[in-house]
Amino acid sequence: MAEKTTVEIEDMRRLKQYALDCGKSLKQVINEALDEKIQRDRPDMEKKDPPPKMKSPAADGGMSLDPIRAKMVHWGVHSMFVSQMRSRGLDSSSFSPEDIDDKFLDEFLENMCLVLERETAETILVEIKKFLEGYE
Amino acid sequence: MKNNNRLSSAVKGLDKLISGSIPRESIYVITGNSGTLKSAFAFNLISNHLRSHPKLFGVYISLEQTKASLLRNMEGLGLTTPKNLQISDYATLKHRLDDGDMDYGSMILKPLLDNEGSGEQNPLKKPNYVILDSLNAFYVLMARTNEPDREKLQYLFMMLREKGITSFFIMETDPREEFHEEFFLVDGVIDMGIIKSQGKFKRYIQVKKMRSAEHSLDQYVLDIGKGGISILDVLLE
Repeated sequence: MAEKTTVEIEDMRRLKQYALDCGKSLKQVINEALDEKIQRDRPDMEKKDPPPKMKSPAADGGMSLDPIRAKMVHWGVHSMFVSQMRSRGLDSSSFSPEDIDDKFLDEFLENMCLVLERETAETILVEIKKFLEGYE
Repeated sequence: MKNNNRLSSAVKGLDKLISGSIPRESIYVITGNSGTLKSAFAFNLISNHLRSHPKLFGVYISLEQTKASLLRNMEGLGLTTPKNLQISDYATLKHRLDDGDMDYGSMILKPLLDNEGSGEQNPLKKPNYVILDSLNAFYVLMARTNEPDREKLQYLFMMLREKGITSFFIMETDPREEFHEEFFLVDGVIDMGIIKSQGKFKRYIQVKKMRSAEHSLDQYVLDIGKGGISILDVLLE
């Protein structure tokens, strides 16, 4: 039987905004997210494109970025985060907390400070740190 | 008596061109060839205005020039940056991180358009003024993930107006081309150029369009000194 999923009102609002920004329908965005999740949850052998050069594979219980990703999309820094992960050879869809070390976060803060006020960037960083601590 | 509240008072002599003031919550393009002081004019206008209105907030989005280079140029022209003007340096970010897949559209537009709420829920600060330098570079970055078209641009302008943001888009143009599609979508067009007058090359500024404001259509001579930009007299043939 299919597993039911609950979506918070705030998450739904963000999803709608994200869909609007991407020029896609809400249904399309949800379908894409589900496809991505199915692809991620499949055993490694079945995956079409396994993530390259991952330091910490998702197979050992790697974490989902979804909750913090939604927030980062909302704040406009998600693409920057993903690019920084890629520059370290990491896959943004699943990772282990040790991949995101203090050096990575310091670098991310400096990158955010290039385009946002420092105060804003620091608040975002605190949110990310809180999320990461929840997984330790 | 000079009204300090008026945006047009932020550049010496600009009141001569526009009676009343530059309407807020509107979209403007500043056009011209390279070297015509488009960036300096926008920077001068907004930085002076913000300096006398510390509760307001502005963002200068630099897509091609690094913050260091921009500030060096502005300081060379006697222009300094007030605390309430954020310089968003996408040029350096591009150099540091660009892997060809960066979604500049959301990075640039989210902080401008999606800033309701405050604190942890939404730390983004709503700007009153935005300068985007340049629209040409913005098109190039957007084209990598999304083909820009008139409808999208119209939507962006509508959103900026709805948010109550007064926006200046710097646009490099060829002086031989009189009209651009953007001119129909924006509320104002300020053109800057270099022209030979009475045997000398001079910089000029001309307000070609400004909705809801009376303005001169004459070209005025522009001067740049230690205190920034000044607009002098009507350019003579």
